[in-house]
Formats: sequence, structure tokens, C-alpha cells
Amino acid sequence: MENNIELKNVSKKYKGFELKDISFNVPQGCIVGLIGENGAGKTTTIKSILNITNSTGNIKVFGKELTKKEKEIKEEIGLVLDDSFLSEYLNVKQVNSIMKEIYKKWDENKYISLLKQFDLPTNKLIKEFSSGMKMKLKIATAISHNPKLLILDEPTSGLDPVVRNEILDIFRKYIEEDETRSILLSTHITTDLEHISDYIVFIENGKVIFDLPTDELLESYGIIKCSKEDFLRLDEKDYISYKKGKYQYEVLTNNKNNIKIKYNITTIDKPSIEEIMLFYIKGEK
Amino acid sequence: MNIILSNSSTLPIYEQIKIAIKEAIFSNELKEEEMLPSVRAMANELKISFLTVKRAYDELEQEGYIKTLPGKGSFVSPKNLELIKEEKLKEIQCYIEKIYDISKISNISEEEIKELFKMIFEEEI
Amino acid sequence: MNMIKGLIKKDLLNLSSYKASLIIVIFCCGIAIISTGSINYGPIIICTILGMISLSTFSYDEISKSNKYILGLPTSKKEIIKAKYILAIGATIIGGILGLLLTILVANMMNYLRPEELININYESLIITTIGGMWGISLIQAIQIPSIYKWGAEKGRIQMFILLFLLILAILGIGFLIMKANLNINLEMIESFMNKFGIVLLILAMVVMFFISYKISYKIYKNKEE
Repeated sequence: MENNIELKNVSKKYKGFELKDISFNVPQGCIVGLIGENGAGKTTTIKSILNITNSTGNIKVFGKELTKKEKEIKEEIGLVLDDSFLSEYLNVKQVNSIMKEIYKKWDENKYISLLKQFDLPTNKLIKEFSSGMKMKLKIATAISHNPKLLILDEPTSGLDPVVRNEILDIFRKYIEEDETRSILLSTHITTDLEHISDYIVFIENGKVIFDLPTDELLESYGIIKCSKEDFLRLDEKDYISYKKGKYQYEVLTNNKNNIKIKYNITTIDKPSIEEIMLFYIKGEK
Repeated sequence: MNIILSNSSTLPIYEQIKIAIKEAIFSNELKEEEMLPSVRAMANELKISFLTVKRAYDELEQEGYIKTLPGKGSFVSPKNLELIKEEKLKEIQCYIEKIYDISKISNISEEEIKELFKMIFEEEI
Repeated sequence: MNMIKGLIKKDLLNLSSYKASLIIVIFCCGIAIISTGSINYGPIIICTILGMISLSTFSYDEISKSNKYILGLPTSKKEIIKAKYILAIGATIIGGILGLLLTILVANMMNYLRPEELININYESLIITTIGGMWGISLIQAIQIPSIYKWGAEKGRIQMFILLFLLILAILGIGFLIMKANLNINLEMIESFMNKFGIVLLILAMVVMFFISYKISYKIYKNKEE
């Protein structure tokens, strides 16, 4: 499988924050979720991929060096940023007339039909939109030049579950239309990712903690619930971290079948991605 | 075709998909040479990762149930009677293993079981 | 080039909410000119308004945090800055021309309607004051744009006034020094020189000013994080 994005040892230093040797890929046809706490480095990673921020390391998009073919690459990227857009003081028609100049492949008809599909008002200024409407407009704007790659920073934060699901369906349709496309989305709402992402990259404190297929996370990871005696039997190699409670130990493993066979422990729950994240951040080892 | 996925099942999701597709093939719901939905389409429909569906398809291909033509899609292979028989034999073996387990626990002898088998087969005739 | 066009379009559309207030201001201007009879201020006021409004697009960008998004589009920091300068210079030039034409139009109309109170229209001095006004606005823009890039739209405005104040102080200081030194300056020679080459010199100075200002803006913005 070819990669639409390749990051190798991408680093960036700010005052009080550091992105350290971030490496991961976004393969063609895949949806990759970038998760982590607020301030973990998700947005900085995304800004590095877009060369909005200059970082060190190697970034390739569509197999091309980002810094050398920046314009050519960005023609093929659709972008949604959580807190930033062209302007709040425009209406959707004005957005169209501006974007027509900006992307060579801007498809006016597609944009208009998306506006209709999303039920967006044509006479209101964007700043009067609800947050769900704003996000839908940003997505419509991002996909109307039929980009090969969608990069989305927190596309579902602050939205209600109905709108969130509508938006996830838009992403599903977008990637189904052409299987060489990819989506990279950052979010701290991990439940969304369980139903849409193919890979999950977890960033914490500016470092990649894991980069795994979603189904592996959901199928092989497990939370062992056991007594202290059982916990003490566990080999340190067989678990990732644990939480000590008053009445029980909760232990995260990335190979639950192994635990079942090796220790004959049967109470192993399927974890959610959020729980896995919490074990990495808060768990002990 | 019905594909009913259960999160609480002990079977991994890709296994559940495989079973569902096999059943559809056996019951002739999916006919020979019929095209299967694309990996991404099925993933989207089931709201799961495309890699999960891909794994199910890959394994079904290895086992000879479907074939994938690059750029065209996946199709149900012509029915291979040997293959079906083998599959069914595997299924029967599973049941027999269960019978074996139960008989062991409840101290029922091999002879008694064989007697039962005989009775059932003769009744058919 | 299309990208710059798009960016300018964005700024103009942002400013379209100013349309109504702009018409009111121009209307008030007209009344002021008529009532005082001194038409020389007309072009200067309109030029100033347009020139300053063009800079308010920086505030719009800040509110919508546009630049972060725009940098993710197929554009560059260079183009973003170029678009701003084209807009600012364009606004000043259009402001000057529009102001001049409107003033002449209003004055002639009034003279036609009220022949008993003729307004004296001196075209030469009108053109000279217009160019002088445009020059002044350009100077402010050339100072203000880099300071906005450095300190942001809000703070940039305060810094700009400080800079302007220092500039005036410096000019006065130089003038004072010249006077103190009691240099024998041939005023007549300067005047005849200015009459011959004044406009060319002013325009040349304007170009150089904007060029330096652009270079400074680019240097500041290149290293800025959005």
C-alpha cells in the first residue's frame, strides 16, 4: 500500500513544549485518527504536515518532499481547522467566489450541491451559523476540489451526536468514492474513531505512544480485572500498565488471548479506545 | 445477505464476517461469480475498519471461497464441491468433539454413542 | 496570481459591510465641503478613509484566525503579504482619484445650482493637495503594515502612533538643527526645484517607501508562527 503521508522523525520545539521524533504514515485508502490530550501535539503535527509551522525531520506527501513541492501538494489537500477559516464575515456564496480563485480544480457544482445536502443557508454570514453548520461548511469547502487527502483538526469537537454521525458519514462517502484517497483526522472524541478509523496514532507529550490498526486495538487489547494475587502472577512483559483499586486490579494487555491461555484468567473486558488511552496516560507500570 | 456483528461475541469481528459470507455462499444467496461489495463499502456499511473487512476477504480468498481481481473487485468463486464438503466435515467434527466431551464427563461409553448413531442413521432409511 | 486575486477578493468581501457607512461618510464630506467652501480637504478625507479601511482587514483576519487556514491552502506567506500591499496601495490610489473626482463634481454641481455663491476651484492646488494627502496615507500604511505584522492589529495601531510621533519629532529636530546651524539655504532654489520635479520625487519616494516596508513585513512574517 502506498502512503499519502509519511512522517519521519518530525520534531519541533516551542517554549514549554516539544514535538519529539514523530513518525507515522497515512496509507492510501485509509482513515487515520490522531488522538491525544489537548496540548499533546496533535495540532502541531498537523501544522507541520501543512508547513504552517516549520519543523525539522522528513515529511513526504503523495511521495513528494513537502518543502519542495508545497503548492502542488496543497492543491490536492482538503483542509478543516477547528478554529480557523477564510473569514467569519462572509456568506457561503462569497466563499465560493473566493475558493474558485484559490483551487485550480474547484468544482462549483459540487460545492453548491453539498450546501444543499447540508441544508446551509445562503444569505447568512458564517458567524451567525451554529457550530454544526460551520463545521459542515468547512467540510464542504474542503472536499469541493476533490482532494486526494483530507486533513481535519478536531472536526467533531463541540458537536452533538446526530451532527457528528452525519459528518462521519460524509467522510465515509468521500473515501469510498476513490480508494486512493486518505483522511487524517485529529480528535479527542475517541468513540468516533472506533467506527471510522483504520489506524490510530496516539500522541502524548509530543511523542508517539502507539500507531496501530484500529481492529487490533479493539480485538487484541483487553482489560484484565483480577485480584492482587492474580496480578502478582502476571509477568511484566505481558501487560502494558495497571490501575490499582481498593477491591481489584485493572490491567491493560495487548494480547488478551495469551493472558487467557498462560494464566487462565477469564475476566478480560474489551476496552474502548478511550480506556486504552487512559491506561497509557494514567496507568502505572 | 445478513451480516450481524456482535461486539460481545468471543469471535473477532473478521471471523464473524467470514462466517456470514460463507453462509451466504452455502445457501446460494451469493451466487457463483457474483460480485461482493467493495472492502470500503462494506466497512462503511458496518461502520468498522476497512482493514477488518480486508482481513476477512483475504482469508476467504486464501480458503478459496472468493477471488479478487485487482481494480475490479471480489467475486464468489465457482462452487468447489470438495471445498464445501471439507467445510461441512469440519463442522461435523466440531459437533462430534462436543459429543466426545459430554460423553467423557458423563461417563458414557463409546459403544453407547455408536449405538445412538446407528439408530439415527437407520431411522432415516 | 490567482491566489493573490482570491486573497484580495476575500478582503474586499470582508469590507463590504462598510459600504453603507462609507456612503454616509462621503455624503457628510460633501456637506462639509459645501458649507465651508474649502474644497481642498475633500480628496484628502476620502483618501484617508479608504486607506485606513484597507488596513482594517488585518483585524478581520485576526478575528477569524484566517491566516492559519490560508497558509494551509496552496499559497505562501509572500503572496499573503503581497495581497495586503496591493490592497493598501490600491485603496490609497482609488481613494485619491475618487476623492478628486467627487470633489470636482460636487463643487461644479454646487456652482451650477448656486451661482450666487461661487466656490473657487483651483485645479492645480487641488491636485497637489490630493497627491500630498496620498503621500501622507502611504507613509502611514508603509509604517503600519510591518508594525501590524510585528505586534498584531490592535497593538500595531498603538505602535504605529508612537512611530509616527517619533518620526515627526525627528523631522522637527532636523529642522531645528538646520535653523540652529543657520545654514544658508536658498529657498527659492528649493521651490523651483520642487515645482519642476516635486511630483516625480514624491511618487518615487512612495515607491521606495513601500518597497522597504514590504521587505520588512516579509522578514517579520517569515519567522512568525500562526
